Amino acid sequence: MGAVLSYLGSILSYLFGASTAEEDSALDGQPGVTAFHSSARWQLHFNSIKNTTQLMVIDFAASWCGPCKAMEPAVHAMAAKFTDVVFAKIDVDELRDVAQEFGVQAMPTFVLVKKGNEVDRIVGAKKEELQRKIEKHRR
Amino acid sequence: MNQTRNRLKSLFKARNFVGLATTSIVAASFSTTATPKLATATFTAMEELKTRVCIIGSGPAAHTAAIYASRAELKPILFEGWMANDIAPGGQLTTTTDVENFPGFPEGIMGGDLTEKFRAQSVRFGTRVYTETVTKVNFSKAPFEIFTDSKRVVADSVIVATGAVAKKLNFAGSDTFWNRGISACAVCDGAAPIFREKPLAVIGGGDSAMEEANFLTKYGSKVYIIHRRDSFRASKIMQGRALSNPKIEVIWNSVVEEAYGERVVGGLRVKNVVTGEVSDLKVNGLFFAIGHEPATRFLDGQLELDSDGYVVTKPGTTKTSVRGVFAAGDVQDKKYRQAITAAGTGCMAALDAEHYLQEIGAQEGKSD
Repeated sequence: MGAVLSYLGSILSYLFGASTAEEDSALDGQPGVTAFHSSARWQLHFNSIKNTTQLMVIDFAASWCGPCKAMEPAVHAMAAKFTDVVFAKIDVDELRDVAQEFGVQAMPTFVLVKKGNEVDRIVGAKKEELQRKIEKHRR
Repeated sequence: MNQTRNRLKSLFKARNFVGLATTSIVAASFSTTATPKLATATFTAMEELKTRVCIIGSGPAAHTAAIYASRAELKPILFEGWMANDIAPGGQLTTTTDVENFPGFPEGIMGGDLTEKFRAQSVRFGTRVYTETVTKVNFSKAPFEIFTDSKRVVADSVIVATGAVAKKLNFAGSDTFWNRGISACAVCDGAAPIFREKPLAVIGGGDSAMEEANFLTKYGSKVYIIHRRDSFRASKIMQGRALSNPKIEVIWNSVVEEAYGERVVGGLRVKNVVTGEVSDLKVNGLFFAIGHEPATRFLDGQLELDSDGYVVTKPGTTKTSVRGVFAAGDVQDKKYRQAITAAGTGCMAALDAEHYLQEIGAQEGKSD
Protein backbone atom coordinates (compact mmCIF):
# COMPACT_ATOMS: atom_id res chain seq x y z
CA MET A 1 0.00 0.00 0.00
CA GLY A 2 2.72 2.42 1.02
CA ALA A 3 4.67 1.58 -2.10
CA VAL A 4 1.70 2.30 -4.35
CA LEU A 5 1.01 5.62 -2.65
CA SER A 6 4.60 6.76 -2.79
CA TYR A 7 4.71 5.81 -6.46
CA LEU A 8 1.56 7.89 -7.00
CA GLY A 9 3.19 10.64 -4.98
CA SER A 10 6.30 10.69 -7.10
CA ILE A 11 4.24 10.87 -10.29
CA LEU A 12 2.30 13.77 -8.83
CA SER A 13 5.49 15.51 -7.74
CA TYR A 14 6.76 15.21 -11.29
CA LEU A 15 3.49 16.59 -12.66
CA PHE A 16 3.18 19.45 -10.24
CA GLY A 17 6.76 20.52 -10.18
CA ALA A 18 9.03 21.10 -7.20
CA SER A 19 8.23 18.84 -4.30
CA THR A 20 7.62 20.40 -0.91
CA ALA A 21 6.98 17.12 0.81
CA GLU A 22 9.38 17.63 3.70
CA GLU A 23 8.31 19.53 6.79
CA ASP A 24 10.73 22.25 7.87
CA SER A 25 12.03 21.10 11.21
CA ALA A 26 15.01 19.82 13.07
CA LEU A 27 14.06 16.41 11.72
CA ASP A 28 14.99 17.11 8.12
CA GLY A 29 14.93 14.08 5.94
CA GLN A 30 12.56 12.29 8.28
CA PRO A 31 9.36 11.52 6.37
CA GLY A 32 6.29 11.67 8.56
CA VAL A 33 4.34 14.89 8.25
CA THR A 34 3.66 16.11 4.74
CA ALA A 35 3.07 19.83 4.34
CA PHE A 36 0.73 20.96 1.59
CA HIS A 37 1.06 24.28 -0.18
CA SER A 38 -1.47 23.99 -2.97
CA SER A 39 -5.13 23.07 -2.95
CA ALA A 40 -4.74 20.87 -6.02
CA ARG A 41 -2.04 18.69 -4.48
CA TRP A 42 -4.00 18.51 -1.24
CA GLN A 43 -7.15 17.40 -3.06
CA LEU A 44 -5.29 14.66 -4.89
CA HIS A 45 -3.68 13.43 -1.69
CA PHE A 46 -6.98 13.53 0.18
CA ASN A 47 -8.76 11.59 -2.54
CA SER A 48 -6.07 8.94 -2.67
CA ILE A 49 -6.39 8.27 1.06
CA LYS A 50 -10.21 8.28 0.90
CA ASN A 51 -10.33 4.85 -0.65
CA THR A 52 -8.15 3.25 1.96
CA THR A 53 -8.85 2.44 5.59
CA GLN A 54 -5.94 4.56 6.71
CA LEU A 55 -6.42 7.18 9.38
CA MET A 56 -5.31 10.66 8.37
CA VAL A 57 -4.42 13.39 10.84
CA ILE A 58 -4.59 16.93 9.44
CA ASP A 59 -2.71 19.56 11.42
CA PHE A 60 -4.15 23.03 10.77
CA ALA A 61 -1.65 25.67 11.89
CA ALA A 62 -0.70 29.30 11.36
CA SER A 63 2.79 30.73 10.95
CA TRP A 64 2.88 32.86 14.09
CA CYS A 65 0.95 30.57 16.32
CA GLY A 66 3.09 29.74 19.38
CA PRO A 67 1.06 26.71 20.45
CA CYS A 68 1.35 25.32 16.90
CA LYS A 69 5.14 25.50 17.07
CA ALA A 70 5.07 23.92 20.52
CA MET A 71 3.16 20.94 19.12
CA GLU A 72 5.50 20.34 16.19
CA PRO A 73 7.98 17.98 17.88
CA ALA A 74 5.14 16.00 19.44
CA VAL A 75 3.36 15.64 16.09
CA HIS A 76 6.57 14.53 14.39
CA ALA A 77 7.17 11.99 17.12
CA MET A 78 3.66 10.61 16.69
CA ALA A 79 4.13 10.45 12.92
CA ALA A 80 7.30 8.44 13.40
CA LYS A 81 5.64 6.18 15.94
CA PHE A 82 2.32 5.57 14.17
CA THR A 83 3.61 4.62 10.74
CA ASP A 84 0.20 3.32 9.65
CA VAL A 85 -1.29 6.80 10.05
CA VAL A 86 -0.96 9.56 7.44
CA PHE A 87 -0.02 12.99 8.77
CA ALA A 88 -0.62 16.19 6.82
CA LYS A 89 0.03 19.80 7.71
CA ILE A 90 -1.90 22.75 6.36
CA ASP A 91 -1.13 26.43 6.89
CA VAL A 92 -4.51 28.15 7.20
CA ASP A 93 -3.16 31.25 5.51
CA GLU A 94 -1.92 29.34 2.47
CA LEU A 95 -4.86 26.99 2.07
CA ARG A 96 -7.72 29.14 3.27
CA ASP A 97 -10.35 27.19 1.36
CA VAL A 98 -9.33 23.88 2.93
CA ALA A 99 -9.32 25.44 6.41
CA GLN A 100 -12.75 26.88 5.67
CA GLU A 101 -14.03 23.53 4.43
CA PHE A 102 -13.02 21.91 7.69
CA GLY A 103 -14.45 24.74 9.79
CA VAL A 104 -11.20 25.57 11.58
CA GLN A 105 -11.85 28.11 14.33
CA ALA A 106 -8.70 28.17 16.45
CA MET A 107 -5.13 27.01 15.92
CA PRO A 108 -3.87 24.40 16.13
CA THR A 109 -6.79 22.17 15.18
CA PHE A 110 -6.19 18.50 14.43
CA VAL A 111 -8.83 16.78 12.32
CA LEU A 112 -8.88 12.98 12.17
CA VAL A 113 -10.29 11.64 8.92
CA LYS A 114 -11.11 8.13 7.79
CA LYS A 115 -12.49 7.22 4.36
CA GLY A 116 -13.01 10.88 3.64
CA ASN A 117 -15.10 11.51 6.76
CA GLU A 118 -14.15 13.31 9.94
CA VAL A 119 -14.07 10.91 12.89
CA ASP A 120 -12.65 13.21 15.54
CA ARG A 121 -11.12 16.59 16.20
CA ILE A 122 -8.81 18.21 18.73
CA VAL A 123 -8.79 21.98 19.18
CA GLY A 124 -5.70 23.40 20.85
CA ALA A 125 -2.22 22.15 21.69
CA LYS A 126 -3.39 19.07 23.55
CA LYS A 127 -0.71 16.43 23.21
CA GLU A 128 -2.26 13.67 25.32
CA GLU A 129 -5.71 14.04 23.79
CA LEU A 130 -4.28 13.90 20.26
CA GLN A 131 -2.29 10.77 21.02
CA ARG A 132 -5.25 9.10 22.71
CA LYS A 133 -7.59 9.81 19.80
CA ILE A 134 -5.07 8.66 17.22
CA GLU A 135 -4.65 5.39 19.09
CA LYS A 136 -8.40 5.05 19.28
CA HIS A 137 -9.08 5.57 15.59
CA ARG A 138 -6.06 4.07 13.87
CA ARG A 139 -7.33 0.52 13.69
CA MET B 1 16.01 4.03 10.70
CA ASN B 2 17.05 2.93 14.19
CA GLN B 3 19.37 5.89 14.46
CA THR B 4 16.64 8.37 13.63
CA ARG B 5 14.25 6.65 15.96
CA ASN B 6 16.72 6.96 18.80
CA ARG B 7 17.38 10.58 17.93
CA LEU B 8 13.63 11.17 18.01
CA LYS B 9 13.33 9.46 21.38
CA SER B 10 15.94 11.64 23.01
CA LEU B 11 14.53 14.73 21.33
CA PHE B 12 11.11 13.90 22.68
CA LYS B 13 12.40 13.49 26.24
CA ALA B 14 14.79 16.40 26.65
CA ARG B 15 15.14 19.21 24.21
CA ASN B 16 18.82 19.83 24.61
CA PHE B 17 21.86 18.17 23.25
CA VAL B 18 24.10 18.43 26.31
CA GLY B 19 23.97 15.23 28.29
CA LEU B 20 22.32 15.06 31.67
CA ALA B 21 24.93 15.42 34.40
CA THR B 22 23.65 13.29 37.24
CA THR B 23 20.49 11.30 36.90
CA SER B 24 19.12 8.32 38.65
CA ILE B 25 15.81 6.65 38.08
CA VAL B 26 14.04 6.18 41.37
CA ALA B 27 10.76 4.33 41.69
CA ALA B 28 8.66 6.01 44.33
CA SER B 29 5.13 5.53 45.52
CA PHE B 30 3.01 8.66 45.30
CA SER B 31 1.23 8.27 48.63
CA THR B 32 2.85 9.64 51.75
CA THR B 33 1.94 6.61 53.83
CA ALA B 34 4.57 4.24 52.59
CA THR B 35 2.82 1.01 53.51
CA PRO B 36 4.03 -1.53 50.99
CA LYS B 37 1.15 -3.01 49.07
CA LEU B 38 1.17 -6.25 47.19
CA ALA B 39 1.04 -6.95 43.48
CA THR B 40 -1.54 -4.22 42.80
CA ALA B 41 0.76 -1.35 43.84
CA THR B 42 1.51 1.15 41.06
CA PHE B 43 4.91 2.80 41.07
CA THR B 44 5.45 6.18 39.53
CA ALA B 45 8.98 6.36 38.26
CA MET B 46 10.26 9.89 38.84
CA GLU B 47 13.53 10.94 37.34
CA GLU B 48 15.69 12.58 39.99
CA LEU B 49 17.95 15.46 39.06
CA LYS B 50 20.21 17.72 41.04
CA THR B 51 21.32 21.23 40.26
CA ARG B 52 22.80 24.32 41.86
CA VAL B 53 20.09 26.48 40.31
CA CYS B 54 16.68 25.54 38.94
CA ILE B 55 14.92 28.11 36.75
CA ILE B 56 11.17 27.96 36.25
CA GLY B 57 10.01 29.89 33.19
CA SER B 58 10.64 30.33 29.47
CA GLY B 59 10.63 34.04 28.68
CA PRO B 60 13.32 36.73 28.60
CA ALA B 61 13.76 36.68 32.40
CA ALA B 62 14.20 32.91 32.62
CA HIS B 63 16.57 32.65 29.68
CA THR B 64 18.71 35.63 30.64
CA ALA B 65 19.06 34.04 34.09
CA ALA B 66 19.97 30.75 32.39
CA ILE B 67 22.59 32.38 30.19
CA TYR B 68 24.31 34.00 33.16
CA ALA B 69 23.99 30.94 35.40
CA SER B 70 25.30 28.56 32.78
CA ARG B 71 28.21 30.83 31.96
CA ALA B 72 28.98 30.87 35.69
CA GLU B 73 29.20 27.08 35.37
CA LEU B 74 26.27 26.51 37.71
CA LYS B 75 24.82 23.93 35.28
CA PRO B 76 21.25 25.24 35.57
CA ILE B 77 18.09 23.29 34.84
CA LEU B 78 15.29 25.25 33.18
CA PHE B 79 11.67 24.13 32.94
CA GLU B 80 10.04 25.91 30.01
CA GLY B 81 6.62 24.36 30.58
CA TRP B 82 4.38 22.46 28.20
CA MET B 83 1.62 24.95 27.34
CA ALA B 84 1.74 26.17 30.95
CA ASN B 85 -1.17 28.54 31.50
CA ASP B 86 -2.12 27.93 27.86
CA ILE B 87 0.93 29.80 26.62
CA ALA B 88 3.60 28.18 24.46
CA PRO B 89 7.19 27.92 25.70
CA GLY B 90 8.72 31.34 25.19
CA GLY B 91 6.01 33.04 27.13
CA GLN B 92 4.01 36.14 26.31
CA LEU B 93 6.32 37.09 23.45
CA THR B 94 4.98 34.11 21.51
CA THR B 95 1.58 35.78 21.49
CA THR B 96 2.76 38.90 19.69
CA THR B 97 4.12 39.56 16.22
CA ASP B 98 6.49 42.49 15.66
CA VAL B 99 8.67 43.44 18.59
CA GLU B 100 10.22 46.80 17.79
CA ASN B 101 11.30 48.06 21.18
CA PHE B 102 13.69 45.30 22.30
CA PRO B 103 17.14 46.82 21.86
CA GLY B 104 19.46 45.17 19.38
CA PHE B 105 16.88 44.75 16.59
CA PRO B 106 16.66 47.96 14.56
CA GLU B 107 14.46 46.22 11.96
CA GLY B 108 12.25 44.71 14.63
CA ILE B 109 11.86 40.98 15.22
CA MET B 110 8.91 38.59 15.50
CA GLY B 111 8.11 37.58 19.08
CA GLY B 112 8.43 33.88 18.34
CA ASP B 113 11.79 34.38 16.66
CA LEU B 114 13.09 36.38 19.60
CA THR B 115 12.16 33.67 22.09
CA GLU B 116 13.82 31.05 19.91
CA LYS B 117 17.02 33.05 20.04
CA PHE B 118 16.81 33.32 23.84
CA ARG B 119 16.46 29.57 24.08
CA ALA B 120 19.28 28.83 21.67
CA GLN B 121 21.57 31.08 23.68
CA SER B 122 20.72 29.34 26.96
CA VAL B 123 21.29 25.94 25.42
CA ARG B 124 24.56 27.04 23.88
CA PHE B 125 26.11 27.58 27.28
CA GLY B 126 24.89 24.30 28.71
CA THR B 127 21.48 24.97 30.22
CA ARG B 128 19.45 21.78 30.51
CA VAL B 129 16.03 22.76 29.15
CA TYR B 130 12.99 20.53 29.77
CA THR B 131 9.66 21.11 28.04
CA GLU B 132 7.69 20.25 31.16
CA THR B 133 5.38 22.19 33.44
CA VAL B 134 6.28 22.50 37.10
CA THR B 135 3.33 21.20 39.09
CA LYS B 136 4.54 21.88 42.60
CA VAL B 137 7.47 23.10 44.61
CA ASN B 138 8.76 22.67 48.14
CA PHE B 139 10.61 25.68 49.52
CA SER B 140 10.16 24.75 53.18
CA LYS B 141 13.79 23.73 53.53
CA ALA B 142 17.02 23.75 51.57
CA PRO B 143 17.82 22.16 49.23
CA PHE B 144 14.55 22.95 47.50
CA GLU B 145 12.39 20.54 45.53
CA ILE B 146 10.74 21.19 42.19
CA PHE B 147 8.31 18.66 40.68
CA THR B 148 6.92 18.02 37.21
CA ASP B 149 4.88 14.99 36.16
CA SER B 150 8.03 12.99 35.52
CA LYS B 151 10.84 14.69 37.41
CA ARG B 152 11.90 15.67 40.88
CA VAL B 153 14.65 18.29 40.93
CA VAL B 154 16.67 18.99 44.05
CA ALA B 155 18.12 22.49 43.78
CA ASP B 156 20.37 24.61 45.97
CA SER B 157 18.71 27.76 44.64
CA VAL B 158 15.63 28.54 42.55
CA ILE B 159 14.73 31.35 40.17
CA VAL B 160 11.00 31.82 39.63
CA ALA B 161 10.39 33.52 36.29
CA THR B 162 6.99 32.19 35.35
CA GLY B 163 5.66 35.46 33.99
CA ALA B 164 1.99 36.15 33.70
CA VAL B 165 -1.23 34.63 32.40
CA ALA B 166 -3.45 36.39 29.89
CA LYS B 167 -6.52 37.87 31.53
CA LYS B 168 -9.92 36.97 30.23
CA LEU B 169 -13.22 38.64 30.95
CA ASN B 170 -16.33 36.91 32.13
CA PHE B 171 -19.69 37.80 30.69
CA ALA B 172 -22.65 35.94 29.25
CA GLY B 173 -21.40 33.79 26.40
CA SER B 174 -17.67 34.19 27.13
CA ASP B 175 -17.37 30.49 27.99
CA THR B 176 -19.73 29.19 25.34
CA PHE B 177 -17.87 30.88 22.56
CA TRP B 178 -14.34 30.35 23.86
CA ASN B 179 -12.27 29.20 20.86
CA ARG B 180 -15.41 29.64 18.77
CA GLY B 181 -14.82 33.25 18.00
CA ILE B 182 -13.47 34.39 21.37
CA SER B 183 -9.75 34.14 21.98
CA ALA B 184 -7.02 35.69 24.09
CA CYS B 185 -4.40 35.51 21.36
CA ALA B 186 -5.10 37.39 18.14
CA VAL B 187 -1.77 36.38 16.68
CA CYS B 188 -2.43 32.69 17.28
CA ASP B 189 -6.01 32.61 16.02
CA GLY B 190 -6.44 35.62 13.76
CA ALA B 191 -5.72 33.64 10.59
CA ALA B 192 -8.65 31.26 11.15
CA PRO B 193 -11.14 31.18 8.28
CA ILE B 194 -14.07 32.21 10.48
CA PHE B 195 -12.53 35.66 10.84
CA ARG B 196 -11.62 36.26 7.21
CA GLU B 197 -13.26 39.42 5.83
CA LYS B 198 -15.46 39.64 8.91
CA PRO B 199 -15.84 42.39 11.51
CA LEU B 200 -13.77 41.67 14.61
CA ALA B 201 -13.29 43.26 18.01
CA VAL B 202 -10.40 43.68 20.41
CA ILE B 203 -10.85 44.60 24.07
CA GLY B 204 -7.95 46.56 25.54
CA GLY B 205 -6.06 49.81 25.65
CA GLY B 206 -2.37 49.01 25.89
CA ASP B 207 0.36 48.40 23.33
CA SER B 208 -0.66 44.77 22.90
CA ALA B 209 -4.22 45.74 22.10
CA MET B 210 -2.98 48.23 19.47
CA GLU B 211 -0.61 45.65 17.98
CA GLU B 212 -3.25 42.97 17.85
CA ALA B 213 -5.86 45.26 16.36
CA ASN B 214 -3.45 46.25 13.61
CA PHE B 215 -2.54 42.62 13.02
CA LEU B 216 -6.19 41.65 12.70
CA THR B 217 -6.88 44.23 10.00
CA LYS B 218 -4.93 41.92 7.68
CA TYR B 219 -7.67 39.35 8.04
CA GLY B 220 -10.89 41.03 9.12
CA SER B 221 -13.02 43.48 7.21
CA LYS B 222 -13.12 45.86 10.17
CA VAL B 223 -11.65 45.88 13.67
CA TYR B 224 -13.31 47.54 16.62
CA ILE B 225 -11.25 48.38 19.70
CA ILE B 226 -13.54 48.34 22.70
CA HIS B 227 -12.03 50.20 25.65
CA ARG B 228 -13.60 50.93 29.01
CA ARG B 229 -12.01 54.40 29.37
CA ASP B 230 -11.72 57.44 27.14
CA SER B 231 -8.00 57.20 26.46
CA PHE B 232 -5.48 54.49 25.78
CA ARG B 233 -2.45 53.80 27.93
CA ALA B 234 -0.56 52.53 24.89
CA SER B 235 2.57 54.33 23.69
CA LYS B 236 1.96 57.32 21.45
CA ILE B 237 3.38 55.63 18.40
CA MET B 238 1.20 52.53 18.77
CA GLN B 239 -1.89 54.63 19.41
CA GLY B 240 -1.11 56.62 16.29
CA ARG B 241 -0.79 53.51 14.17
CA ALA B 242 -4.07 52.10 15.39
CA LEU B 243 -6.04 55.32 15.15
CA SER B 244 -4.79 56.09 11.66
CA ASN B 245 -5.66 52.63 10.36
CA PRO B 246 -8.81 53.07 8.24
CA LYS B 247 -10.08 49.62 9.20
CA ILE B 248 -9.96 50.35 12.92
CA GLU B 249 -12.76 52.04 14.82
CA VAL B 250 -12.56 52.72 18.55
CA ILE B 251 -15.54 52.34 20.85
CA TRP B 252 -14.66 54.37 23.93
CA ASN B 253 -15.98 54.08 27.49
CA SER B 254 -17.47 50.71 26.76
CA VAL B 255 -17.52 47.15 28.02
CA VAL B 256 -18.89 43.93 26.58
CA GLU B 257 -21.94 42.58 28.39
CA GLU B 258 -22.76 39.57 26.25
CA ALA B 259 -21.54 37.56 23.31
CA TYR B 260 -24.15 35.74 21.26
CA GLY B 261 -24.33 33.71 18.09
CA GLU B 262 -24.91 30.23 16.78
CA ARG B 263 -21.93 28.05 15.94
CA VAL B 264 -19.53 30.96 16.28
CA VAL B 265 -19.82 34.44 17.75
CA GLY B 266 -22.32 36.51 15.78
CA GLY B 267 -22.44 39.68 17.82
CA LEU B 268 -21.89 41.49 21.09
CA ARG B 269 -23.97 43.61 23.40
CA VAL B 270 -21.81 46.56 24.31
CA LYS B 271 -22.56 48.92 27.17
CA ASN B 272 -21.35 52.47 27.38
CA VAL B 273 -20.28 52.90 31.01
CA VAL B 274 -20.76 56.65 30.91
CA THR B 275 -24.22 56.87 29.36
CA GLY B 276 -25.46 53.42 30.36
CA GLU B 277 -26.65 52.83 26.80
CA VAL B 278 -26.46 49.24 25.53
CA SER B 279 -25.95 48.72 21.84
CA ASP B 280 -25.52 45.83 19.46
CA LEU B 281 -22.25 45.19 17.62
CA LYS B 282 -22.10 42.60 14.88
CA VAL B 283 -18.73 40.89 15.00
CA ASN B 284 -17.54 37.34 14.36
CA GLY B 285 -14.48 37.47 16.56
CA LEU B 286 -13.53 38.92 19.92
CA PHE B 287 -10.00 39.07 21.26
CA PHE B 288 -8.98 39.91 24.81
CA ALA B 289 -5.89 42.11 25.01
CA ILE B 290 -6.37 43.37 28.55
CA GLY B 291 -3.11 42.37 30.14
CA HIS B 292 -1.95 39.56 32.33
CA GLU B 293 -1.86 38.42 35.92
CA PRO B 294 1.16 36.80 37.59
CA ALA B 295 1.48 33.02 37.34
CA THR B 296 1.95 32.20 40.99
CA ARG B 297 -0.69 29.61 41.71
CA PHE B 298 1.71 26.68 41.57
CA LEU B 299 3.72 28.21 44.44
CA ASP B 300 0.85 27.36 46.75
CA GLY B 301 1.60 30.27 49.07
CA GLN B 302 5.22 29.37 49.72
CA LEU B 303 6.48 32.79 48.67
CA GLU B 304 5.15 36.09 49.92
CA LEU B 305 2.84 37.66 47.35
CA ASP B 306 1.39 41.16 47.25
CA SER B 307 -2.34 41.86 47.07
CA ASP B 308 -2.35 41.47 43.30
CA GLY B 309 -0.59 38.12 43.35
CA TYR B 310 2.89 39.35 42.39
CA VAL B 311 5.89 37.82 44.14
CA VAL B 312 7.31 40.30 46.62
CA THR B 313 11.00 40.98 46.11
CA LYS B 314 13.31 43.06 48.26
CA PRO B 315 13.71 46.42 46.46
CA GLY B 316 16.81 46.57 44.32
CA THR B 317 17.19 42.77 44.33
CA THR B 318 15.38 39.65 43.19
CA LYS B 319 15.33 38.15 46.69
CA THR B 320 12.01 36.70 47.80
CA SER B 321 10.70 35.83 51.25
CA VAL B 322 12.62 32.56 51.11
CA ARG B 323 16.40 32.72 51.27
CA GLY B 324 17.80 31.06 48.18
CA VAL B 325 14.70 31.61 46.04
CA PHE B 326 14.72 34.53 43.60
CA ALA B 327 12.08 35.98 41.32
CA ALA B 328 12.52 37.75 37.99
CA GLY B 329 10.38 39.11 35.19
CA ASP B 330 6.65 39.83 35.11
CA VAL B 331 5.91 37.46 37.99
CA GLN B 332 7.38 40.06 40.33
CA ASP B 333 7.01 43.25 38.27
CA LYS B 334 3.73 45.10 38.43
CA LYS B 335 5.08 48.34 37.12
CA TYR B 336 7.19 47.92 34.00
CA ARG B 337 6.37 44.51 32.49
CA GLN B 338 8.54 44.79 29.43
CA ALA B 339 10.63 42.10 27.76
CA ILE B 340 13.78 44.09 28.31
CA THR B 341 13.10 44.83 32.00
CA ALA B 342 12.35 41.13 32.45
CA ALA B 343 15.68 40.26 30.85
CA GLY B 344 17.37 42.71 33.20
CA THR B 345 15.87 41.18 36.32
CA GLY B 346 16.72 37.71 34.98
CA CYS B 347 20.36 38.68 34.96
CA MET B 348 20.04 40.11 38.47
CA ALA B 349 18.48 36.87 39.69
CA ALA B 350 21.35 34.79 38.31
CA LEU B 351 23.88 37.06 39.97
CA ASP B 352 21.91 37.04 43.24
CA ALA B 353 21.75 33.25 43.08
CA GLU B 354 25.45 32.95 42.36
CA HIS B 355 26.26 35.19 45.31
CA TYR B 356 23.94 33.16 47.56
CA LEU B 357 25.56 29.89 46.49
CA GLN B 358 28.96 31.26 47.34
CA GLU B 359 27.64 32.29 50.78
CA ILE B 360 26.24 28.87 51.62
CA GLY B 361 29.23 27.16 50.10
CA ALA B 362 31.49 29.16 52.38
CA GLN B 363 29.28 28.47 55.43
CA GLU B 364 29.16 24.75 54.95
CA GLY B 365 32.75 24.47 53.85
CA LYS B 366 31.60 22.69 50.72
CA SER B 367 33.51 22.64 47.52
CA ASP B 368 31.79 21.77 44.28
